[in-house]
Amino acid sequence: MKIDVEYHELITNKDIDRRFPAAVAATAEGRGLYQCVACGKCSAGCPISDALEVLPHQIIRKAILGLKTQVLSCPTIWVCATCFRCNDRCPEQVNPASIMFVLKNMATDEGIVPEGIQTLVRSLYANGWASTIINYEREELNLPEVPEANDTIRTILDRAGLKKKSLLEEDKG
Amino acid sequence: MGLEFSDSLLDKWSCCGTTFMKDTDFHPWLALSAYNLALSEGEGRDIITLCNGCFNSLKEGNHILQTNPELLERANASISPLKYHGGVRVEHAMSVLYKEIGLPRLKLYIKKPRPLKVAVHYGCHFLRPAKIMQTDNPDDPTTLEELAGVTGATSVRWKTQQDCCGAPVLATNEDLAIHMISKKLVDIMDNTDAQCVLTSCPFCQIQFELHQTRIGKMLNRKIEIPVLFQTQLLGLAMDLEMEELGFDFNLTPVDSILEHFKE
Repeated sequence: MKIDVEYHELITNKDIDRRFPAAVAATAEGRGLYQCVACGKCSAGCPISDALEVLPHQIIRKAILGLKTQVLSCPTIWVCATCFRCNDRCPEQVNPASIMFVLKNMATDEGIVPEGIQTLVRSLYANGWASTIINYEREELNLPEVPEANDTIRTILDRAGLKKKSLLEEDKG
Repeated sequence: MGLEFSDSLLDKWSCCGTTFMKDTDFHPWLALSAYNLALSEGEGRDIITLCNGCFNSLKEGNHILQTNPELLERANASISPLKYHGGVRVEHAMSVLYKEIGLPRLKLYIKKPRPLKVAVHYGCHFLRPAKIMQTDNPDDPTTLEELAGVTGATSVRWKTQQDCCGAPVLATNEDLAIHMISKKLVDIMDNTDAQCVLTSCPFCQIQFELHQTRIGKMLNRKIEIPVLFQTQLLGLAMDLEMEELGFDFNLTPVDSILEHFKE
C-alpha cells in the first residue's frame, strides 16, 4: 500500500531566532505565549478563518518556535479584526488577539506597516484626530466647532516615543 | 434620567487611538488613554462612550493602567503635568441605560411603542474581551435586545449576529472587510424578517450602511435594509424632536421605519 505523505517545508536553524518568543512573552500583552497547547479553538472561532492562509493558532506556534521573519511578515497579524473572541475562548489564557497586537508592534519596529494604518497615525499626529471632522455637519446639529489641533497630543506622542520612522515617514525605502 | 453631562473638556479630548495606534505603538496608545482618563479624573467625572471602539480602547487602557503600576508611571511621564491615579470608570452608553437607568425607568419615557422587527448588532468591542469589558455574556448577550424591546420592538435571531462587522479590517484589507459585512447583511435579508438593523457603534454603523450598494452590485442582487443607531429608535419611541435624532446622516433610506412613528 502506498501512503501519500505531504512534506512540509523544513525548518532549519537559520530560520529560528531564539530570542523572539522570549521577547513576545516579556511584554504585558504577550505573556500568555508559552501556555499555548495548540488546541486550535482560536482558529475555530475566528470570524475570518475562511480568508486566512495562516491561522491564529499557527501564528502562535510559529512565534513559539522563533520563526520571527515568517511571523512578522505574515498578513494574518494585520487583518486580525481584534474581535477578541479567541481571547475569551482560549482555555489556556494565551490571549491570541493580544499577542497579535504585540506582533504588529514588533513588525512596526521592523518597518512593516500597512499604508492604511500609517495614514491614520499620520492624521492623528498632525490633527489630533484619526478621521476628518466636518464642522458644517456639526453646525447643523447645533454642536460647537471642533477646535484647531493643539500641540498637546503631539507632545504626548513624542514623549511616549512614537515610532516616527515607521509610522510617519512617507517612504520607508 | 439623572445623568449629568459636561462639555468642558471638548477642546481638550484626544482621539483614543483605538486599534490602529495599539496595533503599531503600544506606549503612545496607552499614553493617549491615560491623557483622556486623567482629564476626566481632574473634573471628577466618569466616561460614557457611544462608540464600541472608544469604549474598548479606554476601558482596556484603564484596566492596564489600574493593574500595572509600572506602565501607569510610564504613561504618566508622557502626560505630565497631568497625572492619572486610576479613579475613572468607563462605560458604554447602552450599558448605562441598561444597568444604571434600568428598563422599568426607561419605559416611563416611551410614548410611541411600535411592534417593529429588528436585527440588533452588538459589535465585538461592546462585549469582548469579556473579563475586561464586563457588559454582558459575550456568547449570549441580551442587553440590546432588551433595550429594543422597551420600544415595543422584537429582535430577530440570526446566525451571524455575533460575528465581527469587519470595520477594523477596512484599513488593512478592504476586500476582506466587505466580505465580512456582506455575510451578515445577506444573512439578515435572507433568513430573517427584520425591518431594520440596530447598531450601538458608529464604526459598525458605517460598515453596515456604506457598502450596501457595492455589495448589491457584487452579488448581483438588491441589498437594502435601513440601519439605525440604537439611540435613534429609542428617540423615536420617546417622541423626541426629529431634528435631534440626526436621520439626515443615515446613509440608508430610513423612511420605512419613520413611517411607523407618524402618529
